[in-house]
Amino acid sequence: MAKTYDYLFKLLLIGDSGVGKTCILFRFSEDAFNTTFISTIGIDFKIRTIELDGKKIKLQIWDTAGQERFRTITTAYYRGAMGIMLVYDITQEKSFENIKNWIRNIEENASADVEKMLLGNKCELNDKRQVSRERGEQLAVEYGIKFMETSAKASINVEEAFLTLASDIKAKMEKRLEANNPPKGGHQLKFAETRKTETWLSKCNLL
Amino acid sequence: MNNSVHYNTNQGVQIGSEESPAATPTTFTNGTIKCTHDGVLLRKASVEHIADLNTSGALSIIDYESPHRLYIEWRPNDNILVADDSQDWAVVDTIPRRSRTISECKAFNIKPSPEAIAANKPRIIRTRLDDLSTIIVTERGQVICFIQKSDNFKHSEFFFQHGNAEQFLKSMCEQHMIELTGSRLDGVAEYTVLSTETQKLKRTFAELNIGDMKNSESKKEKGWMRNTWSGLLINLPDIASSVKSSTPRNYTSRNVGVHSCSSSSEEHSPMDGEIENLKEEDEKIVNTLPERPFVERTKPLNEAQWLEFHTVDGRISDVDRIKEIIFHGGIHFNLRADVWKYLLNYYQWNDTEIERIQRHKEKYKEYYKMKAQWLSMTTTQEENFSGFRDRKCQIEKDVKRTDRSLDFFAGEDNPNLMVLQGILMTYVMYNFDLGYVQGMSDLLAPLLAIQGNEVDAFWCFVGFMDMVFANFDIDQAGMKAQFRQLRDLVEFSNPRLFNYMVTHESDNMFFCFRWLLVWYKREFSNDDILKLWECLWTRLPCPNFHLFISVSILDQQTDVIIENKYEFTEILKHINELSGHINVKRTLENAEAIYLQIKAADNLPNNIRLIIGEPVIDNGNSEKEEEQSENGTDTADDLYEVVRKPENDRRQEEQFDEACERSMFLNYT
Repeated sequence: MAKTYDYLFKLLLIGDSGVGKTCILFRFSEDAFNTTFISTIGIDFKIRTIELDGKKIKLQIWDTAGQERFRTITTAYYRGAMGIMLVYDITQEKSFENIKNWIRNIEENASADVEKMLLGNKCELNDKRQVSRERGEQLAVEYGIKFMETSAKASINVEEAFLTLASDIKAKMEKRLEANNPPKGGHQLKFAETRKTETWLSKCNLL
Repeated sequence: MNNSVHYNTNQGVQIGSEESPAATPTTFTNGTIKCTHDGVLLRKASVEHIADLNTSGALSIIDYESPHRLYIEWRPNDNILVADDSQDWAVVDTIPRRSRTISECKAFNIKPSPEAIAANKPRIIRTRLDDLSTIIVTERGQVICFIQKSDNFKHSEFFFQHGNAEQFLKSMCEQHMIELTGSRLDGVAEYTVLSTETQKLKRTFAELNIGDMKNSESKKEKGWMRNTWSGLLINLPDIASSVKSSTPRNYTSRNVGVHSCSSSSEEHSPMDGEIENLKEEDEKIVNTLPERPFVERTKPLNEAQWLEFHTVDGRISDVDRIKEIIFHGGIHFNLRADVWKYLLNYYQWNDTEIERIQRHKEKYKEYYKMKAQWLSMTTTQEENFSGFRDRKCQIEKDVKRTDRSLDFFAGEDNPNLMVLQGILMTYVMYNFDLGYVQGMSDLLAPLLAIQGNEVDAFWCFVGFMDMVFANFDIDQAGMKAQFRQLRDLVEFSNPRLFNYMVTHESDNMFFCFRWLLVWYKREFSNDDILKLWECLWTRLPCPNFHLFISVSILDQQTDVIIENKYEFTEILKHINELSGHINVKRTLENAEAIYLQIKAADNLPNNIRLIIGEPVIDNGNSEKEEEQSENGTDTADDLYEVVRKPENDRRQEEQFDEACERSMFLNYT
């Protein structure tokens, strides 16, 4: 059978414990919000297929436990990730400060060319806000990445965030593909066959 | 009142021809709805339906007069939803592409208006039942997937938002459109779509009532025939099923012809000759292990028994016997609060009543002393003490999301949450180095719910943590060591699965992380976890028996993993989704049976001996000779083992590290 998707993107959600990573994922994959929270132990992923410019893109989104103690386990999953959502909680200053640690973690463990995006979650709790939108924007500018304030609960910007990240990955991939591999028509990418490479973009070179 | 689901076998609803899509040359006229179910989300389908993914709709089986065939139809009912006549409100969903789950829930019991039907014309998914081969049911019966006959690939997948697909499928079975060909305890089932001819035959048989008699008889114990007449019927060849087309191989979920070591045993179908052959090959590998013994759980420790073990001065006699009763049957729920204190090393078995009261007093004092330490901390102290602050912050986050579905912790401002928090904070003061790590609140919550008292729960928790503290190591070394041990156990007890995992880069056992970290807390219901934990707390029948629970669950999932050709990511997903669907009794019985089977094996290698606490065979050691005479092991083999030992250990460690490495370059497909 023809594959049900054109591209497979592996994404990762990271950030401090309790910032709402699982809720963001649940909102995006099931379009729902669960009020009975449960902390994530270990690692899990969800799948959603989206369409961008006529291409079906299967997003495999990995959700990790936030506590530092588990980083030795969770960083193992950084490799092979094409996009990473860095999440903080706008009502938790500490979670924002820790973003720099998460960035360092990415630098140490993920591909150099991984697409990143910064999300300030729980933006529906404006009265409890500790991190202004401007600070979020500024930090994102510093790292040269995109930024959005989201609310998994009120369903604000979650869909948009994932679509943005996916479309940036797609653009980057196609640009690189074009540069290295002049189009011959009817060509289809196969990521599965090209895993053991240092960066995910160099996978395209092999095709 | 739910009037959106219909399972009319005989009173078919006539629907007109107005919904024939313009693009299709065939005109669909005079359809009779055989069964229909509303609130069904489209999860997967071919490209042209992408816009309707995750949209709610109605799934129906419709018998059309022209063309005279049975069709499966799904039609979306989003966009404009108009309330049923009986209701005086309406929901208008303005989002054109994806309807929202919340509004869908609100819209339950609502049917699409004629305008909506017209607007949705081209979006109907319709396929001939004859073009499908199989229906696979997963996720607690909520998801059904249609497999097409032409290439054995998925045609479409649907999610039953409200309830599950049980009635829908039952209705199809009763109308002889499909037939159950395989099912598992966790609710995964497979139905074969019967061809039109077979359907007719089945119907004839049904009218003659032969099929039913056969079925009801064959469910009874094998070899036991109640009367000659029904016995004769059992032996009649099943004409109808021999006509059916063969099941696609890649989706077969039947457990057939399992080797003696596997616990799964279900009806055997001659259709699966090929699989049978494969399994026979597997069996050859396994044959070195002795037969797996039969183990059955017994009754829980009851009050009368418990009192019998009390001596006059209040000591508990025959601790070994008590532990054995608990290991095999658990504890009556009335006794749990009391007996757990002993199992978790809070009370001492050998203490007299007077000593116990004394100990209890001291432990109370000790607890409140530690509690006072953190309660009296000033804001400035806290500000200058990041280690404390971080631990406190993490506890506050986790307490809010621990077992909130249990009555004991449910609701806003439940006072028990404060108690839970207090115990965890006090534990931070008791063991600051370990402090608080996620997962610990999961371990504490059931203890508090049973003890109902802060101090008692704390000391029970201390005892539990003493057993599992290595899980929370800063470098996760304890977890990694357990992955390695588990890998060794699976390699020895289940080579079929082990070899599969090695060839599919999944032998790092990472997917068992949650199982091991919180001792299966997230996999079982609260009632079941109490049973499991009290059994494991006895530390019987060997050290590391908690690993055998993993071995047991994996043993039960072996066929599923291999037959579905799961890769690492799929195994992980499958394991995560088993949560809530594992039978605790069966898992415990199977775990003990595997332990006994391994223990009885000849040539038990030292790595396994170490894990299960059997004496290690050493060169020139008198213990070794004893072992030898006891087990009758081959001297040459022993020597070989001894010579190879250091090399073996290193090799195994290397292999494990390599397995981790490999799996980390996961095949992200």
